[in-house]
Amino acid sequence: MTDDLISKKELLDLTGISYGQLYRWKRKNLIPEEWFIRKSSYTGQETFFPKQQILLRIDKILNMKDGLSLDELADVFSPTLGEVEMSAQELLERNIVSNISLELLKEAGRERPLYALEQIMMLYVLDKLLISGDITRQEGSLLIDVMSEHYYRFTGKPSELVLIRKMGVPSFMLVTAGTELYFDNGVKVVLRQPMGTFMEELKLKLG
Amino acid sequence: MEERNLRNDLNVSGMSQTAGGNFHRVSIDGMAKVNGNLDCTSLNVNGTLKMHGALSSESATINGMCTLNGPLISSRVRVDGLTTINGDLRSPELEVNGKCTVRGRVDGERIDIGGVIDIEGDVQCESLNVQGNIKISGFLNAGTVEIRLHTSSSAKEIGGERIDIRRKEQTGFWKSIGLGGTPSFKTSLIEGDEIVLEDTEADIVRGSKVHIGRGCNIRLVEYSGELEVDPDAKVGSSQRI
Repeated sequence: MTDDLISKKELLDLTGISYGQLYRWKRKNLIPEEWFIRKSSYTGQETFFPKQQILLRIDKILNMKDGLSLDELADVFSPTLGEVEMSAQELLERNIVSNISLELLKEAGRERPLYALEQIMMLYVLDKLLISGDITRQEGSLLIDVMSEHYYRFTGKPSELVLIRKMGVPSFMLVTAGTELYFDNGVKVVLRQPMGTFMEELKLKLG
Repeated sequence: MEERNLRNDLNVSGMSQTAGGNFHRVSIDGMAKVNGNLDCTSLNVNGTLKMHGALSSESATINGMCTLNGPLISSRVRVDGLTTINGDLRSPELEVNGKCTVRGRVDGERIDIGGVIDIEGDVQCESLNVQGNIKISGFLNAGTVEIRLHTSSSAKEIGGERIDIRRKEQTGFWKSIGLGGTPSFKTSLIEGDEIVLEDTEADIVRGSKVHIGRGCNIRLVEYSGELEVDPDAKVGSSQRI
């Protein structure tokens, strides 16, 4: 899977932001360094960005910068987890997760009196994917497994969630963002989503 | 963390070697070698310090010579002597009036250079003010860049909001000894909102308000607002985007 790239010039044209703004956001860590992809072109070196991600991010920054300071925005976008603890009751009341995912968690025997951000994140992802119909309940318990066992390894690093199916057998993977993955013909990639997007949404809900 | 002011001070007046550790005030007047990490409230070097490890100090003033083999993290760094850092430098305030070499990246808020600085990595700061000689082998990302050229300086690429690079008229003494070559600035790419250049050699300049002053040699200028070119400047081609 190769992401569409957009050149810096096209990006500025499309979004109407200036070089100054782009560099300021980079300095404030609103745009991660690894999105600046250097490639040689006929005019010399050019900088490209992953199109989907950067457009989404700039749109978010432009929409939110009136309400929040740049530093607060940086917190929302940073891949690191903050200090939060919530009970199942609170999570339900604040509409962050629904009963289905909490029940699944109970079945998997991973219930806790209080959930840290890492687990809230897992519940949130689970909930979103279940409700959107992208995954089944059975796949949901696989997701709980992979996220509770391995998500901590990606602390502070961008990661992606991948779901593949082969002959009806599903399998979840957590991989470093931007990893190239190739499969044999029978494998269908059902879903591949950056965890960062979930984290941003969740942080806004929690914030 | 324990209260810093309850810690001991470290004073070196002769020659000494230590293993590092946590201190309140560290002052080196003689020669010292530190073979480990050092964490302190203030560091004052008037003699020679050689470190093998990370240095983290609330403020650091170097009047003598200092070689660090490790990163430097501080909130205020002032170099009036000679400093070599074989690692990254992170300090909101950095002032160099002597000579400083950094073999890593530099992150700061305000950087003031009155002497000579040579940086091998990228530089990121809100304002960079240079009245001396600067050489950056990486990418410079700064809110405002103000460089007054005395000698030949360079950066690989520059991006920012206000970028102002101008010649500083040299007076009698410095001009007559002709130290460090003629004032010039070399870079491959400059991108910013407001750009004012003099004596600059660049491949591409992109900005909204661009002024190309005397002595410039630019291959391509792309601008969205206005462009002014001095008759004494050479611009290969310019394009409004």
